[in-house]
Amino acid sequence: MLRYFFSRLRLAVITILGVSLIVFVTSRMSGDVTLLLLPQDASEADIKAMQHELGLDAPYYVQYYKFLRNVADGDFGESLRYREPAFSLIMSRLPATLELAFSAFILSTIVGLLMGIVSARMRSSWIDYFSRIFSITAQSMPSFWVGIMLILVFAVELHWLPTSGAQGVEYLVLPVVTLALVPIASTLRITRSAMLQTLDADYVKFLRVKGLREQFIVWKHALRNALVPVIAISGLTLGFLIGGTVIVESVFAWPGLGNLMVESIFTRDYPVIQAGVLVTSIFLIFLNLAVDLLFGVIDPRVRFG
Amino acid sequence: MNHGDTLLQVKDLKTHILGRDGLRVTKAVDGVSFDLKRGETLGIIGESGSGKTMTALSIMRILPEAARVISGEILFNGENLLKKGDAEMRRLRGEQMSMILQDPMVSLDPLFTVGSQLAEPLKVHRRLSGAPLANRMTELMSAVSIPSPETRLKQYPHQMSGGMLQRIVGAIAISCDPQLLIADEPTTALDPTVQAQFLDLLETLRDSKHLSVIVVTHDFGVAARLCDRVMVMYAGRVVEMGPIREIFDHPRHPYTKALLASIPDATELGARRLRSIEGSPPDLAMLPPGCPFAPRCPSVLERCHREYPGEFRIASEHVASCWQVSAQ
Ligand SMILES: Nc1ncnc2c1ncn2[C@@H]1O[C@H](COP(=O)(O)OP(=O)(O)OP(=O)(O)O)[C@@H](O)[C@H]1O
Ligand SMILES: [Mg+2]
Repeated sequence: MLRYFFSRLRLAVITILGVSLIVFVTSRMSGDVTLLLLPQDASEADIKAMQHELGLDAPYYVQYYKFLRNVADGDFGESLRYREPAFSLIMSRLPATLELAFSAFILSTIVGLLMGIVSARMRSSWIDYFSRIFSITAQSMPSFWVGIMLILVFAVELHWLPTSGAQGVEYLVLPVVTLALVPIASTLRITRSAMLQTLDADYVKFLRVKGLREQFIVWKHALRNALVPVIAISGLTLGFLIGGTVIVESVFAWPGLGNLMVESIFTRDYPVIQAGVLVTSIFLIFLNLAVDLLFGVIDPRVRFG
Repeated sequence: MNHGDTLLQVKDLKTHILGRDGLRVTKAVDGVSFDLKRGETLGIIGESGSGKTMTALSIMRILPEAARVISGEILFNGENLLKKGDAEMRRLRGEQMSMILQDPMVSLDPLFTVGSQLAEPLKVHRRLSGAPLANRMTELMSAVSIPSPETRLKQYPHQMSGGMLQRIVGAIAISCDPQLLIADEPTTALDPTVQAQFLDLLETLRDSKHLSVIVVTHDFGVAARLCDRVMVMYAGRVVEMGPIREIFDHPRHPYTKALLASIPDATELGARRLRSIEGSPPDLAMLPPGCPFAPRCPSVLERCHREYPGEFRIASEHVASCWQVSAQ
């Protein structure tokens, strides 16, 4: 298990380095900041001076090395727009985004698992048909549209919930539901097919031969086996959710990282973009590491493999 | 309650599989009758798809969802299993009747230790726990000759070989001292030396635990080794049944003869699959009106295509369903 952990950890570090390189290169590819920062009529000399001040005249490898050094010290540079450290800007917005993403993750896991299990256990019943139609529909509706529809129905028409903002739990409901819809559908489908496959497996037949109760077989043996593929995609789901917040945050005016990132891209606020992408990537990489470890806990073939 | 010599009596069992559309009906088992005496070992032999496994699963009442027993009786100690509720059936299963499935590599849950899976029936049926449970488990592991049982019990299925897994499956199956053990092709998935070892083990267990056994097999070698009687199945029906020596020396049904003729060397034990007989088994959803073997039969009569032959008694225990037999 320890060896498994270290091999995963090494992979995580390599991935982070890779991401940092990609972030560095792409942000530099999108154009020269100095042109945006200086007035239209700035002279060649002004531009040079500005580039020198920002360290943009050094060779790329030197810049990258400095960038890494600074990042290692927790210094992502200063926002060109807000004139405050990019990292603290990111950190002030991150909790709101994580609140959204994790609420949606918990909701989609619980609802997806339950619907998947019930659907598999009652195959071809009306519940099963409903689940299947639901999962196809949910996966084919764009989230900005779903968000707007939910606002129209539950906020504008029924006045049950607020339209946008983040002043309390009731503000969380619509964005979380919007965000969770697709992962609910994918968790449901994976659980259903894993459960059907498991309930058909020979070892389940042998559990029946032993005279065990059907409930025991389903909730102890079949569910645990069906969880393996669900856990396997949960890292991917979290990535999808954190990425998905960008759109949902715009629709619901949620004061999170997604909104900040969109703003920063429009204003070419490099340090903030870099910090935002890097921080979320590192966060996701560690989440995936945790998922891999959980995988090892649940499946002995991984643990000893 | 004593029901004489007979432990199990299957009468005119019909198990059909309904297709998804509800129109196609596969007659997997189509009127099977046989008896099993206490302490006796009966072999079920036949080509792939002849309904052997379906017969076994019908007796255990663990058929797949699409399969239904549509008629017949299965008397176990004189009581009809088909009339029993799920809870009653569950109490019998694992406790009084048990089964070894075809492939040991997939018979155990990969996510749980071998020990926890051996403990389950003992906890449920015997209410064992603590030291008595541990002792019983070690005892069972020794009974199936697994060295260092304490270590093995803590391991997972993927850490063991096929032969060892099959012995553990055997230990689980006999853990509550059942009266009936059904072994569905217990050695097909194993390699030849391990096959022989497992057959030895099965023989020892049967004799020491006074088990009545049904062995499903493709292999006349296995049947010769273990069985008192064999039942030959074709297209969901019993075509011939009798004492093993009778069947070997004087087979009467053309299908049995063809099966025996397809064995390369009937005296040597080993991995011997039935080689294909000319033609292929019929579609069990579209059986012809007469004898299902007629299209492949070398000595077919005109009558065979029209009427299914009844059962003809050749000797006190030897029966065959064939118009040829009746003609002689
Ligand atoms: N789950 C199932 N769904 C539909 N048809 C099935 C199913 N299982 C078996 N059958 C059909 O039932 C018939 C009898 O199958 P069975 O498994 O009893 O054969 P068998 O004699 O055990 O063969 P084998 O030697 O290959 O194990 C076959 O025609 C098979 O196609
Ligand atoms: Mg079979």
